[in-house]
Amino acid sequence: MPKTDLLQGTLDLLVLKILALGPNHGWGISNRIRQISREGLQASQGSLYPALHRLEIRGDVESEMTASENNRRARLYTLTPKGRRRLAAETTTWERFALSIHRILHAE
Amino acid sequence: MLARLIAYVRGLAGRHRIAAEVDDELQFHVEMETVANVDKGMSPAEARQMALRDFGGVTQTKEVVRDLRRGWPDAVQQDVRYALRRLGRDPWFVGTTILILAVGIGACTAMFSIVQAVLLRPFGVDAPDRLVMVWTRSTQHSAVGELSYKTYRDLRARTRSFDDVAILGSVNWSGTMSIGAGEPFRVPCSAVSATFFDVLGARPLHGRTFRPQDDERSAPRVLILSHALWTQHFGGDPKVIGRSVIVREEAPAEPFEIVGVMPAEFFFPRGAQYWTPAGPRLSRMAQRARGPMDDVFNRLNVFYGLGRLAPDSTISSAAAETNVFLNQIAEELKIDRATTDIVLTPIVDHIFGRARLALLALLGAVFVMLLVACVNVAGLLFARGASRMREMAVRAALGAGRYVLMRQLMAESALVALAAMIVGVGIAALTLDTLVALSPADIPRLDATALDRPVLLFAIAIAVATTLLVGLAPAAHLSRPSLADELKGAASGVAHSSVRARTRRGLIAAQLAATLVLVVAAGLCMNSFARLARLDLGFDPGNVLTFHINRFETRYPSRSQRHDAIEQLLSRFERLPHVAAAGAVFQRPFEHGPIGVDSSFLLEGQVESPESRARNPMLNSESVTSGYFRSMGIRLVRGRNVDARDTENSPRVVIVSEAMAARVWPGEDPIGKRLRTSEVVDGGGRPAPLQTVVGVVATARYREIESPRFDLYVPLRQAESDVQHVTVRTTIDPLLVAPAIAAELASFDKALSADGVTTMDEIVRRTRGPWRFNMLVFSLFGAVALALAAVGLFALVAYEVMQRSREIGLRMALGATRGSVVRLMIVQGAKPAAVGLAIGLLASLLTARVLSGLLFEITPTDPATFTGVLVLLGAVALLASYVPARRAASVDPQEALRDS
Repeated sequence: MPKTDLLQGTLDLLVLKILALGPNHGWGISNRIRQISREGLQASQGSLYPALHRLEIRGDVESEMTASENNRRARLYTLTPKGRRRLAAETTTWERFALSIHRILHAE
Repeated sequence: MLARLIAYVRGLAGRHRIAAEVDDELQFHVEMETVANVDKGMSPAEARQMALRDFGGVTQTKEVVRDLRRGWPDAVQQDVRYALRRLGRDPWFVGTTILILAVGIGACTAMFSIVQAVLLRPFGVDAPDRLVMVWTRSTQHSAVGELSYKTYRDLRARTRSFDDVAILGSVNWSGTMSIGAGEPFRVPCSAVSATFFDVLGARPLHGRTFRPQDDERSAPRVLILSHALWTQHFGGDPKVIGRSVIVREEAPAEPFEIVGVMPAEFFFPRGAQYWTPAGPRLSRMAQRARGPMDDVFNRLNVFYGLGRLAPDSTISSAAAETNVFLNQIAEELKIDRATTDIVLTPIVDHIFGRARLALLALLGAVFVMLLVACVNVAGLLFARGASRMREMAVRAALGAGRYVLMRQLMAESALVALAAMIVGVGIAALTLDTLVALSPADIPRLDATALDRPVLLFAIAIAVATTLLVGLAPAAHLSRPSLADELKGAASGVAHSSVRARTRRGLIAAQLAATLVLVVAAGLCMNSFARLARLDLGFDPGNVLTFHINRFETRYPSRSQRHDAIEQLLSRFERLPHVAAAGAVFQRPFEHGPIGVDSSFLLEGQVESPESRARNPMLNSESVTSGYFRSMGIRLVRGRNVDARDTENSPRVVIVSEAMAARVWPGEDPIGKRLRTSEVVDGGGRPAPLQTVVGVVATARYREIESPRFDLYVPLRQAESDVQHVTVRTTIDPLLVAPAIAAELASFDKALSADGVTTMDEIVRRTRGPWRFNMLVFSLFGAVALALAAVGLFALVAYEVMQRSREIGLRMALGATRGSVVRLMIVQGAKPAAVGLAIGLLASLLTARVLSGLLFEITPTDPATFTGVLVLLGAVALLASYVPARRAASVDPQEALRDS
């Protein structure tokens, strides 16, 4: 399955959505993107982690280091109310965008 | 923005912790992936490899995230490290820029440390901006007049504009102090009102200040010591309060109680070593004169007035009220209201006088020089920026934002400025002592100059300003986003950025403009000093030894004893080998600046009236011996010298100066004319005796070197005041004759000794000191600025020649002569130079007025000076353009064209 490099804006949107389903760490987020898109999308880790940090700086997510299953600490990310609002707004924008493209592609 | 800041601050607290966390986070990811792969059936080794490959560059991601999470001290540290590496690649260039900036910063620091020590430090007085000096001033002559004790009391009682008023006596009053069994020594003092310290808001270090009862005429004598006197002669012992010390002023010596000691930073009036209440001192003076007490208190105008403005008063409102007050007492004081006013001066202007203007002007000049240095370096950086454009473009393409690039370039500027600051402060430290030593002696508090904390803070501030000034424009220019496109589009050589060229030319013009302003100032000061040096002083200062005789009054208490002694001593001096003449005078020239004895007078037949007061100027009174004029080389123009026949019992005679004769008896022969001078301490109510003019001498300068007064010379035996200074004209170097003089003095009376032995040449030299100092410092700054500007211009033209070598080759191939291409290149330099000089000329004309207080006999817009400076700078600019332009002539057209 080819790796589709996601644009930074869309990656942010997907991460927010995943976190809306529950707090998670980086690996978990990457996994879920793969799972839920049924292997259609895979975020490159080189983009994912910087994106997570940028979201944290903007206040859309917050994080903390936790103990975890293996003896490595993991950074757990949680969606903030601000992030939740942004998710809603960007989802609307994206869906409108996708609809417009769909209409053009299927025009007679 | 705030979030970013918070993240940075959080990053402050542990770079290592951040690194470890990021490490953990990514390793966690890899291990989870490994476990998942194992679950899918791979071997552990395979699983791990797969996980790493899928991750795609753990290390890079680790770096990126670590960088993102890192705080700003780390970013700064990396910038600094990178900047150091970058600077290290161009040691010569960096060294040059550091040196140029160091000279500018060092000069500013040194100058500021002087200004700080002299002007800015507090001087133990509350709210000095509310304090004013109170003078009377006559429009007849520029000298200001002092007040009497009675005027002080009246002023205090009858005006409302002042919180309180005080008076202080001038420092040429002194007392001879004996401590215990020690040698008596002369101490300058100021007689002040009891309100003096309160008006100033000055508090003592030990003990107390004066109380109203200390100022009563019959109060017991008290005094307050200065800090210097206290440490030098009383061992700095706080228990000195309440002790008694014997002081002789006018009357026989009497005990004074020490009631206080002032702190070290208090120094008003300058030179006073002790303060004593004026009332008791005046009453002693009256007793000695055996005249009515009131005369001394009411008519002896010897005090400077001092007032603290009331909260709701301004200087102008107070001046208006005091002039109304003057109307009321004018008749009493016999003041001619038509020509006399009361004038108020802020105390700061009085204390520092011309020194303040000079120091501030010099500080301004050094800032201008620093400006030239900064602009020069900015030009250098701009020029060098050309070679860094590729580097910057690549880094921008690799993802460095404009902000990051600018930050890194500014880091380079900051490091250079920091190094320049350190070197500059070092330069200042080394040269400060020399600078202070060269400074004129009349600047107060100069000895406290040091590189203390305010000065170092100033140096840091200057370094920061320099960083911005020097680095900002080149950094902004180099980091511009359009850089990469420009590089792609530009062919090599022919089309260079016009913005850069314009900027460089503008920088050169700015340097030349600033340089012109400095050099004009230097030229005006040079001109002033030259005129001052050529001035005819009225006497010949060469080969004149001069000194004061210690303990003369102690050894010869009566006037006639003193007169006999001094005349004998002087004739003994004249018999010594290498001595041409010996004389004595009350106050030799330039001793105390404007302070001296002013006498009013009436002509024979005149009665005291407003007309007489308007017509007769104040006279500078000097008592002299017969040998005086010869010893000082003052020419006798008419009539005769004072000589042995002028005694206490012979008819009163005087000698006048040419200027005085011309003013009082214009067009007439002054010989034989008679006048009477009213010296108050003259003894009771009788009019002063008539004095006949028997001689006229050349006009000499006594008080200020800038202007002569109207001199009146009285023979010693007929004068009120004694002679204080001995003047001896020698045929060889006076200092070689000094030992013989000292020996003769000792053999005459071994209790006497010579004090303050110096030559008139030295005194004149010292008096010219302020003008000389200004000239030297302005010239130094001007020269440095000129050198920098010339080098900058040279570099500009050289660069143009190099950049445009292809164009030059083209022109020559098309038939242009070598001469014409050289001229073309010269014009490249001449045009910005001309613009700069024009702007500088305008700026100079506007600002030169600031200097008028520092100049002598020359206007701030003196055409000769301006012309001279323009010619000089024009010549330098042409030369600086011509030398590199000549290289244009040696361009080989074929090579140049081939090189495109």
